[in-house]
Amino acid sequence: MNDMTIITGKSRKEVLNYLESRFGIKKEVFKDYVFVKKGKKIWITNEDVVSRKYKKIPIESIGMVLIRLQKNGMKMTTNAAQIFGKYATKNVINLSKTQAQKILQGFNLDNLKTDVEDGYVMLKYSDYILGVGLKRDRFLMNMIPKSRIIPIESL
Amino acid sequence: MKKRIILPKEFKARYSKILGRENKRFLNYCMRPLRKSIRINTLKTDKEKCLKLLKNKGWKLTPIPWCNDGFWVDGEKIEEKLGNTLEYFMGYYYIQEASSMIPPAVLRPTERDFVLDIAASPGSKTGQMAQMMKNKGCIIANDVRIERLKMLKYNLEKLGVINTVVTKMDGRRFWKTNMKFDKILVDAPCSSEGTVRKNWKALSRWSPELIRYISNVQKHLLDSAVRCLKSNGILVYSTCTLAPEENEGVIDYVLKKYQDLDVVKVSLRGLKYREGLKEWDGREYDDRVTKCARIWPQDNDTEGFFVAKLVRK
Repeated sequence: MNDMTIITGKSRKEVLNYLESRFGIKKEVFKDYVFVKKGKKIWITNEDVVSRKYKKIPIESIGMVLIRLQKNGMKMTTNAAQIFGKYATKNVINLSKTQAQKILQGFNLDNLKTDVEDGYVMLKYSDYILGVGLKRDRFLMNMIPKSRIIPIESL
Repeated sequence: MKKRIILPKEFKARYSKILGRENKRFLNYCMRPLRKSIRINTLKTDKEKCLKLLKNKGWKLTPIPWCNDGFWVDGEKIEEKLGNTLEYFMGYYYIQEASSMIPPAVLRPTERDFVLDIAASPGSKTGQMAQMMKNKGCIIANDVRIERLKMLKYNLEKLGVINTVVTKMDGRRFWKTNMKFDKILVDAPCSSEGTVRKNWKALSRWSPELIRYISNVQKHLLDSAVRCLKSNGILVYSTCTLAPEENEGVIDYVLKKYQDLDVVKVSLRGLKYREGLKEWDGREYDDRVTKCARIWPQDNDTEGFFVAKLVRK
């Protein structure tokens, strides 16, 4: 499958452990999914997709990017967080309406009042998981891709 | 400022040959703004919950009969609001023209299928098929140009699609992979006549020469796709144009080339359409092209569209 490798065994466990230890997402959530690594990305797809042979095709992507491997560790993507974030039980910040609006508009947040650990956090507004942010003390860096932000005026 | 749509003289004349007295009505519809529509993305949300959220915004949602999750949307300043809501940000719905929902509805991919979408960008129909397949099975979503692939990947990820492999190939050479599929969608690049209601510039480069050139590309693309179709496999060919050379002419080409190929009559709930043309510009087509569906803008208040369903015996 070009330069992509299916992640199994220890490597898969490492990904699952990260998601469970950081966000409390249980390993069972991913039991029907396959992880694939290409470069600095870990993709999530289904069994059927990886069971096929792709000998002569230049593959651009497979499934959805679940995690980006960064200098400071793993980072769950916005798209993956919007799907699997609902299973998170820790390091979730509940945003106010004004804060959520700022996130959607692409702004960072400061003066956060929360006892959530520093590092990557799940951003929740009402029932919606908006994506992932990076928390340092009372500052929250907005990690929503620029292409996704919208000039929303009211929620 | 409202842009004025200019319809080329030759364009008007050629449809007068097909529609006769009805041509005026057709041309009037070409000048009308397109009714906005969305598809609720059940890969990320519950349909009823999403509908409730949208109705609470004061939007009027009318079901599109041929697509379970498709809705026409009416409301004040709806055009600017559609892409600027929390639900849009979340990927709970996708802005998709009602006629563009037809090809996947005709192809009907299932959870067990291996599907090829040979010219997939921007991914509206790929996303719709992934939804119909409940993110199971496998779709190869192919396109050829980098910028089109970027848009395809962006849209699929935003929609939460995981059963797709995005590939970069000239679809006309896809047959060289020797891969065989249960279902294939050929939503071919075309002269885009049918999109004039959405894009007032759509006909700015229109000419009979362009149609001739594109129909040649379409023949090669469809030919390549047919070679990738399994026995008993189903292929849907579609365009957003009404030019017979790009539609019946292309189907006629593959029917003559492949004896084991047949046309199945298109049938969709609530969709008004007309038979394919048996003859155009002095050329007679295979009788079976009449089973194809010509969707005129005035029939369903949509873009102009063409759909053919082929089966390999």
